Amino acid sequence: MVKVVIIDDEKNGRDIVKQYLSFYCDDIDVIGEANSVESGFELLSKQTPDIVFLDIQMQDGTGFNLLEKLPQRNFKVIFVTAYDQFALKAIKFSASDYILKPVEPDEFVEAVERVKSELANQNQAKDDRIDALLSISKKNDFTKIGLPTSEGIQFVKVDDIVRCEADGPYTQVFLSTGERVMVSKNLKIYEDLFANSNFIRVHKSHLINTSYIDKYMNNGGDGGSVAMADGSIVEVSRRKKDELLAMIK
Amino acid sequence: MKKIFIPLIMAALLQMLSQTVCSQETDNDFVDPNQPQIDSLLNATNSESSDSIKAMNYYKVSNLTCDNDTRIKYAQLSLEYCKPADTKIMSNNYSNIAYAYYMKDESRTALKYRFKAANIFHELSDKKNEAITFLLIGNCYLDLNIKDSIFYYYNKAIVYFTETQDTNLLISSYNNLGQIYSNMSLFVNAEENHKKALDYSLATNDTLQMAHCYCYLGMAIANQSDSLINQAIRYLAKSVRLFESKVIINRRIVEEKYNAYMLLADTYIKAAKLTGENVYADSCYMFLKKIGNYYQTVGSNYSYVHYQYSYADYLILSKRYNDALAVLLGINKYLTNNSTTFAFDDYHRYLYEVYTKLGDYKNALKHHEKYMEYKMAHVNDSTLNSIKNSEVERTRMLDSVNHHYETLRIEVEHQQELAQTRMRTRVLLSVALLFIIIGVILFFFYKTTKENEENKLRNKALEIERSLLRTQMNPHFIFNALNSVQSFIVGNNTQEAVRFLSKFAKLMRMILNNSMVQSVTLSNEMQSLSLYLDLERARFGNKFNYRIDIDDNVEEDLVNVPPMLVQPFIENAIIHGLMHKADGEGLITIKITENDNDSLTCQITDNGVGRKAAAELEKNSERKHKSVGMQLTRDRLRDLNNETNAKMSCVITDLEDNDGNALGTQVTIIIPIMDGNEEI
Repeated sequence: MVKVVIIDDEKNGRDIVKQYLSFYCDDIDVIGEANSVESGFELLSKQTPDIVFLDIQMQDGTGFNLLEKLPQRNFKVIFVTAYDQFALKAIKFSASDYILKPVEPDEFVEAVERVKSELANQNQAKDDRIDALLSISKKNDFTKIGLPTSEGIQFVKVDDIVRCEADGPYTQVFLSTGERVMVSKNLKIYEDLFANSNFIRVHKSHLINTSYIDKYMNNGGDGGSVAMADGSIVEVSRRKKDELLAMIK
Repeated sequence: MKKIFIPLIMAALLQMLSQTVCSQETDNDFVDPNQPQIDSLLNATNSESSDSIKAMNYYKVSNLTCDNDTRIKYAQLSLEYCKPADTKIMSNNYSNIAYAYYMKDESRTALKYRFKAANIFHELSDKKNEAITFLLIGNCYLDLNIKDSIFYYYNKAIVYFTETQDTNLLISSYNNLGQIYSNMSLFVNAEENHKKALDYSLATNDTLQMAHCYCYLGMAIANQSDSLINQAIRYLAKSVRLFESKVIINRRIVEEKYNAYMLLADTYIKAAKLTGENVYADSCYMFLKKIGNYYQTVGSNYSYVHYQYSYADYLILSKRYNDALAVLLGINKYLTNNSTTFAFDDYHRYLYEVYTKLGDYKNALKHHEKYMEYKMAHVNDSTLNSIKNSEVERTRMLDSVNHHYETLRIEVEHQQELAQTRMRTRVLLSVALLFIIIGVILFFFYKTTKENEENKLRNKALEIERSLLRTQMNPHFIFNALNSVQSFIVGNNTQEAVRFLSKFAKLMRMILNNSMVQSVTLSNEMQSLSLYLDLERARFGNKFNYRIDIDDNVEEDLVNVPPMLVQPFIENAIIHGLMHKADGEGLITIKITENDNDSLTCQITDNGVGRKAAAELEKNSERKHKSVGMQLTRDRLRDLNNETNAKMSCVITDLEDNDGNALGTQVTIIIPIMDGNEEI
């Protein structure tokens, strides 16, 4: 049985998670509930859950505040939030799991199943994504990003990413070290995460870091192509040529 | 006045080299006085077979002729027949060629031949001729204004002449040097050299030689300083006495005698001006009379002009201005283009002086200007003038300017007054003009700034309006959707309510995000559209289907469009078209294609009842549906058109079959493709 704790300051919020768990999921044992940062801390100090459903905005603080108070975090966290763009960005950068309110049943099940499989595959319960998340949100530092791979989460510097290439529903991330990381998220997600930085979606399959452009070439398609520092040649869509040239000028 | 000496000394030196000196000026109908001799020599040479004799004869011809080109021609011819042993003839030929070039004012070429000659003299150890050639080389350098070389070769020559005690050549050398220094306005050095020449000449007992030397020395001293004028007069008078003590037949020496008279007369005038003593003026007049008598009989261009000036000067001194004017105006006919600058500037200087004295300021001013013109030209082109010289010139010029200013003061003051009035008017006009220009600039600046501000405000207003229009759609959605949720709950359809609500939340999230940007990707827009359609479909109990068909050419992830533009048309199609449809399954097709001109065509087709039927049906309806979304969209299209000049349009077509039965409605919207995503 997977032991679950639900922390949310609204009773409706806790109830819907409880109902969804009983309705859609097997082998779940809800061992406790809390309605604030304070009571959540007390609960988690006593209990040892496998999964914590944690609301971000609460009356007496945030879910992040609660996590900071706990030195030992031997549990997985699924964040539940209504609408908090900053927190969401931090969660996405740390590749943590989250669900949005109102909770969509399919997404809920997907998140729970993912965490359960993680629990089954890993001996160590401690989750370094939470450390990363707390660091990101505390320092407002979005220079590192967690890439979820088949082996776990790999943290890389955003500046070390040369380019991302769509590979069906997955994304191949090419690093300046020559390493290639296959990520189980689609390219659009990274395009959104890296908006307002050096990245540009130059093609339906390519998101590139303009810092690593060696040169722009007129050949190779309507919009030309770019030679990247790692030796790769990336096609540029005609649609994006002007925007790219304006960016690297 | 100074320049005349150099040709004289040249003549003296050249005679020593046994070359013919022709006193006549070369002109067109010139006949060589030695022509008979030349002709006979040339005839003899034609029948001659010996090269040596030919060389000698040609050399003689080149020596006899007075024409420079002829001299060069025969000297070159002679050189062709010269054997290597004929060094003497060769050197003489070189000297002849050099002389001819020197006379032709081609000193650089002359120099080349002088050096050739000097080399031969050196090889022959003919030191005397080598030294003389050095002197002549010095003269070439004098013409070329290369001072160091002048003194270097003169000194080389003098060293040799001193060794051999060649008195005549030493006298000539020192006098030449003195003249060179005089020309450089270094009168102390000039005096020194002339004094050396005089010392040597005193040893020769040659009266004429002594006369020459006294003359030069007197000149150098006269030029040196006004305080030494008495000494200068003493030397010049001595020179004149020595000339007069001899009966002179040689015309050249006679000219030198009269030249000495002239110098003495000039010096007397100067002394008279300096001291104001009549005795000097009287002495001057005495010599001028002698000179005048002589020139009336002989007639000599340059010297005669010089005399006339001196005479005019004397007349001015004696306050006989009208006489002086007559003399000066008479000089005009002697002045040609070939005359020296001195002649011209003297002419204007004296005329200026006379006119000033006569009170004719207009003419005085005219000649003063001309005088200054020549003076300036002279100062500029005379590179030999030392700094000292130019200082003297400057002082002189300043003096004349001061003088000029004094005499023309009244006129100048009057003119200044006029100029001041003119200037005042000009300044006033300028200031007025400046103010007008500044005013115009300020006006335009103000206008542009205001326009810019207005533009900015207008854009801001447009943006706010657009953002309002985007968010205004939200309540419309919200209440319709909430209405649907309510209906599911009332109908106890919990599962459907949950799914519907999740989709609704997702759509709300997208609308919220999209309302903050001016453009979204087409894929984003289509995602929100399909969410919307899913919700509507659920609301109407899956009464219709929809299909979104994006052309393969369209890169939906990369193309940006204004958010939430199409949704109201879909809403229209559902409510007015499909909702009334009684039989058959409703279908909405959304077809997106890309146009060449950076725009998309969105075609929304429904198979509803058509607009006519809808209007008919809704007329009877209690609740008159007011299409808020459509009106809002039209407003947005209008604003976007205003801002981007894009040709966005919206055409509604009623689809009918051949019998005129309604098949549905088709809405065709042209949507602009927008630049990159921009947060607001």
